Amino acid sequence: MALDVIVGILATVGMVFLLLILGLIFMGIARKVSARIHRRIGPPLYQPILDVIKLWSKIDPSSHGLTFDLGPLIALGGAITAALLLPIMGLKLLSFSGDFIVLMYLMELPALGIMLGAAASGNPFSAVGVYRGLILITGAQLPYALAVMAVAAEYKTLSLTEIVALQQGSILNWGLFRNPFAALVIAIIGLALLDVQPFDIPSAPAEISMGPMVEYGGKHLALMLTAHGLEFVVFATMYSIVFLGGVGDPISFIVKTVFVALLAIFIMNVYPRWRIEQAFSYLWKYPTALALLGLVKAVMLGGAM
Amino acid sequence: MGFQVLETSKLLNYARARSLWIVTFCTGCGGVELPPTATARFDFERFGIISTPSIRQADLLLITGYVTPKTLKRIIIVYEMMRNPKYIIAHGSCPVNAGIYWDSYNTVKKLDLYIPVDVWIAGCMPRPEAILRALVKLMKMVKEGKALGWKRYLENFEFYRKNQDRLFGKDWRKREIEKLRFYIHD
Repeated sequence: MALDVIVGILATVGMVFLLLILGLIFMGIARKVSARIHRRIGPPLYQPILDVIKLWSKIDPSSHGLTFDLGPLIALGGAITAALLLPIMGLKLLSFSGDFIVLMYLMELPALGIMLGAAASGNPFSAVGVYRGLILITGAQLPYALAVMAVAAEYKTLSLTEIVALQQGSILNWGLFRNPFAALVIAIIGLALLDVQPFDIPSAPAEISMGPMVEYGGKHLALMLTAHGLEFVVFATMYSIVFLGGVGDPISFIVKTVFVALLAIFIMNVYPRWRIEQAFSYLWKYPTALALLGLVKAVMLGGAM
Repeated sequence: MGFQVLETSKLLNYARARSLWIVTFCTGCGGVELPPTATARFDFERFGIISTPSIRQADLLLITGYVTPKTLKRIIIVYEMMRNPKYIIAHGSCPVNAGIYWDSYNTVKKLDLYIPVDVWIAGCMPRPEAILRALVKLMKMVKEGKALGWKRYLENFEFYRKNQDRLFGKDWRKREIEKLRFYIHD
């Protein structure tokens, strides 16, 4: 019994550490691939790790109170909890029967944590960024919830482990082919959740100078970068689990998550940033309609092909 | 302003050297040489250098052209808002000795009386190769722990402050804050 607990703790810590490093390397992949698309050479893949080490080693921290300090911690905590809910490589650390819906809400916690902290800083750019970010989250909520409902109706379960089990056998059993509408909608919503172009409205660097992050530097920013990378990995893994047949072994884990991440990176480099009202009306038109179609398909046809 | 102790080790200095973030703030005409340095042909992101719009996140301030007293006020404010350790590169002939504005009444001729400069680049304009050479030199200095301009500024703050006050008049910081009062929330 005691041995089980120790092994469980070690597995959890190891998995969190692995995913944190992997998140930073994913951000390195994003920067490298973007650079190659721009026909540049680009930084090495481990560049975000060096950035985080440098940011930790900065002295002279400036704080704007407790809420300001807690913001990045909430972001990182939400991302880590979300990561532990995922059944990766046969490990089921926090899995239970309704983990998909919990995961859906935890995925939004990093953005909310950063906004909570940023609102305490008193910077006008932060205020504008928070306002934009909350509008974007409001816009993304409706299609996201509908798509999650479509997935749940498709598989008649909310447990990620069971969703993976139902997709085994043939490649045609994958969620991508069983309910392509929901797959497309969650891919679009993922871009909004990850704050990448064309949905990087909250932290538009050229307009409102990083938005909520403008007052954050040093250790706060290191925590935020780590949380952002982890969110990237969590989203890619969640997508692979729900729509690409699960991540049972290390090879499929790496291949599928990197595939999803590369798709996001290519979209990010091709499309410019939308204005806030363009993004909002887009989110409530096309993804919502697609998610409704997916829900109708799932309810009418059930689990049938 | 108290003294701050900087932790140094090989790994930390290497990380600092390989991840210099430039604050997006250009004075004068030298800023036009930075886009070519950042884009496909010269690409300073190879060295981990990116430009960030937020002053709080930046390590490196490039002074890219002639400096008038009005600009110098902003440069000093931006420099003091950056977090230690921080570095300055003076870019072009104008920051060195006012260049072609050597006899102007309204150009700062000795920049290092007001802020500490780590690396100077001569030339009008310095080409992207020269900027890259300066960046690589600064990276080497940071790696060896020799880029200590921020420390000089802390240790000799009275000296710098006296020179700044002589140029701008006493209480110039208070007057600048009054101008920004409208934008400050709390």
